[in-house]
Amino acid sequence: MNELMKMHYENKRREFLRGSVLGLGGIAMGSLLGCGSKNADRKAVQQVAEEINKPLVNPHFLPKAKRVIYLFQGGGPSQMELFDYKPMLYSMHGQEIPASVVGKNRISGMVSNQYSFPLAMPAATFKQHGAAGGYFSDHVPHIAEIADDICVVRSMFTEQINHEPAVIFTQTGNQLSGRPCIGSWLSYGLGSMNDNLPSFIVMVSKGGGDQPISSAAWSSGFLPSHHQGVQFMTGNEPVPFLNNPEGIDRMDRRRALDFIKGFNNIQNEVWHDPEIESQINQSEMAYKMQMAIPSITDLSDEPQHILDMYGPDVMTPGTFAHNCIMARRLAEKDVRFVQLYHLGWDHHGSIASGIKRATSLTDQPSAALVKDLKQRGLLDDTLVVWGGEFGRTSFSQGKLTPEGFGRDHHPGCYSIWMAGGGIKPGMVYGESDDFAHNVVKDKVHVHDFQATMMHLLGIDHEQFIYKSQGRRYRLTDVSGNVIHNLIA
Amino acid sequence: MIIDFLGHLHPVFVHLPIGFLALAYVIQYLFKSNTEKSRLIDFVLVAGILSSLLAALLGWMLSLSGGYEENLLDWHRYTAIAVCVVSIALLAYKKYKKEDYKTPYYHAGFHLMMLALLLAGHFGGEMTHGEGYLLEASTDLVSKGKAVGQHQRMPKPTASSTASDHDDITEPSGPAALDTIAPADAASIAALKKINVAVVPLATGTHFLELNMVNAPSFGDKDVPLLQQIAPQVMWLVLADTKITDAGLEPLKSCSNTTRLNLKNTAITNASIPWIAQFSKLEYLNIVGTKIDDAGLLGLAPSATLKKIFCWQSGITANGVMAFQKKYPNIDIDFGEKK
Repeated sequence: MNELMKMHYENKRREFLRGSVLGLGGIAMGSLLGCGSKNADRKAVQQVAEEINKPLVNPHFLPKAKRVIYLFQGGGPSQMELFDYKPMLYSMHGQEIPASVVGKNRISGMVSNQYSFPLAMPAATFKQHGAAGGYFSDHVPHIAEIADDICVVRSMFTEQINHEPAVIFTQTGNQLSGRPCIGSWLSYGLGSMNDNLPSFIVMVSKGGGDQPISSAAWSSGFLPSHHQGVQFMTGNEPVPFLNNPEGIDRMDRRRALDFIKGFNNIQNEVWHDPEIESQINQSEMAYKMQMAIPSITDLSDEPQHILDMYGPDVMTPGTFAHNCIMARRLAEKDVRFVQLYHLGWDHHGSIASGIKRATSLTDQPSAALVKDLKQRGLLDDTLVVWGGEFGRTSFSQGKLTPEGFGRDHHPGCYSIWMAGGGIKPGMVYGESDDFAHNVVKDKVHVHDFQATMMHLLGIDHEQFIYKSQGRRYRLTDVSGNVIHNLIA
Repeated sequence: MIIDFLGHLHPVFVHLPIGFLALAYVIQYLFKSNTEKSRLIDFVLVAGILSSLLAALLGWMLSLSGGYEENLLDWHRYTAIAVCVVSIALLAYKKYKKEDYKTPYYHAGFHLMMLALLLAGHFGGEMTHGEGYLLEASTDLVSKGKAVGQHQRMPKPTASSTASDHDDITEPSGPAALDTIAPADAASIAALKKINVAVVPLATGTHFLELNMVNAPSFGDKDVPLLQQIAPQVMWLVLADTKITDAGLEPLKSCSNTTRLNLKNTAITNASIPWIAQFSKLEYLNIVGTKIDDAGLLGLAPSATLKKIFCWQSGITANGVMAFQKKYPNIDIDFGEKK
């Protein structure tokens, strides 16, 4: 080690020590002088915070929807293979996508060094269905059957091109994780009808694909943490530890919980930390769920013809079909927000087989859920949403080979559908260009979609605000317009 | 225009004289005297004086924009001028006396300067943060303090308005049409809640209610009298999966404003049809899983407002639905999954 290096290192050590002494000394002096907040101060802070952030309790105006079932299709379902029929793609198969169409649209790093962008004809055939004559691909025959009950939006666009930020953006209105998701906003704002079940339940289907999904998508962000999504497991036991251990009966549990609650209350008197109240809430909910969950998860009371509607997977816990029927059962119990995540729509290669597999798992249960809700009179005030985080490119990712091509992420245009809860049924909304690459009519931004959803639930998205760290937050951040043409 | 802009720099520059003059005070009374110290005090005092003059000038410009409470402004203005005057006098006296400046007058002047500085700072603080800010520090730290953070440079408009007027934007009034009913009887609501009935106002600013028995599956005919008092306020009535029977439903026909009636999976039979017909504003009727059959459906003389009937898994057959549909083509009747 040369002289200079030695000095260099010494200097670092000294700086470190000096910094530590001053820093730690400062902190120590602070506590010696009594700068730490006192009990009364903390209480006052909490009281003021509670006064500013009062939950809505009641909607701003008469709601059309009382609850939401959101069938999230993670990975980016291809609009061209499902709901957005583009004859031009068949005739221009193999030709370069015109530069005027690509425009300034973002393309991802996965295709940015491709020298050629050949258009790829959809791996699907299309037919018109329903009174409105909307086109549905042969991959979704069951959804096509409910064409008259749903509203297909072909003009969605988002700002994000990668999965995680795009999912978080769709769920929280912001691309970085940390803000509350839609379900948490609703749980916080409107609370729950059912005392014995969480107001926000999440189910992630297994066996869809290897697309990752992070629990940040059902996080409560800065809202009290008991509003985060309660995730049901995918195994035989969706909620573990429902049964008390041997030798412990329900009254023992009650007494234990009351005792723990007593401790928590003592701590709360000192710290006034909202998270302590969340802890108490969670424990109480867990106690109630011990009683309520078994009757929800036991499908033995479902008649065979209902099970058949949802398809062959319905009795396999963790499948999308199983989660769909669970969602219906939860909606019947007035759970405010049920969020399903199905992954496996990320078809960068071999889209033909990929889309076949994804739709074989989701098409029938999705349609069955809508039909089942409808026949029970539940669709009227239950909003069902089916959609992913973005769409896919009309050009091929990588070489265009027959059968073998894939499509990359595309935020500029994608399709979703909604049903019930005050959405106009039997409608196709918005239009994309001949390549399903850009939206040309009735654009719907993610924030617009969120604002519309809030509106259906009776909430003015601009007035549903939570103040955190000195800033007022909304689900729709600072934008979003209600699309009144979507509302019945 | 330019004066306004410069005035707005006052809150930035005002901190300089506070720092300099307080520093001079600290040096004067914390360190041993020597020539170096005297020269240092001179330097810091000069810096303090120049910056206090600048701050005073900018403050005067800011005061021209108006909107501040006159009384406080006067106090702030005169104490600030006192800071300038006393500090200049102090430095002049020190220079005039040369070596033996440390007289009682000098010290008195120094203390006076410090006092004026504290007062000027205090009044300035009261103007931006509101009167009594210092004393209410604990609670105001969050409420007003945060709100003030956003309009710190905004004049305090009048004494009566408060920072909280930002915070009630989450409480808009409900639509006027919903506003036409008197509040529901509180005792009835309390009694219903006691047996786990969810009683929820339909929206903010309305007294119309949704009654939902999802937590009260044992709700039955004996509990119906609890609803009597609040019948006019009940707009949505969810009796699904309860023990209600025809006898219990009869008195509920007094729910004259009910638009949604959900009787799913109850023991209701054709005997209830006359009562159902008396819900004069009904739009949504759910008789899924009840014993009502074709005779009952065809006997229903629905209100003109009725739009949807859900009758899956009831006694009603496809023929009954067709016959009813012929009679009432505008009512959407859902018979469930066709097999």
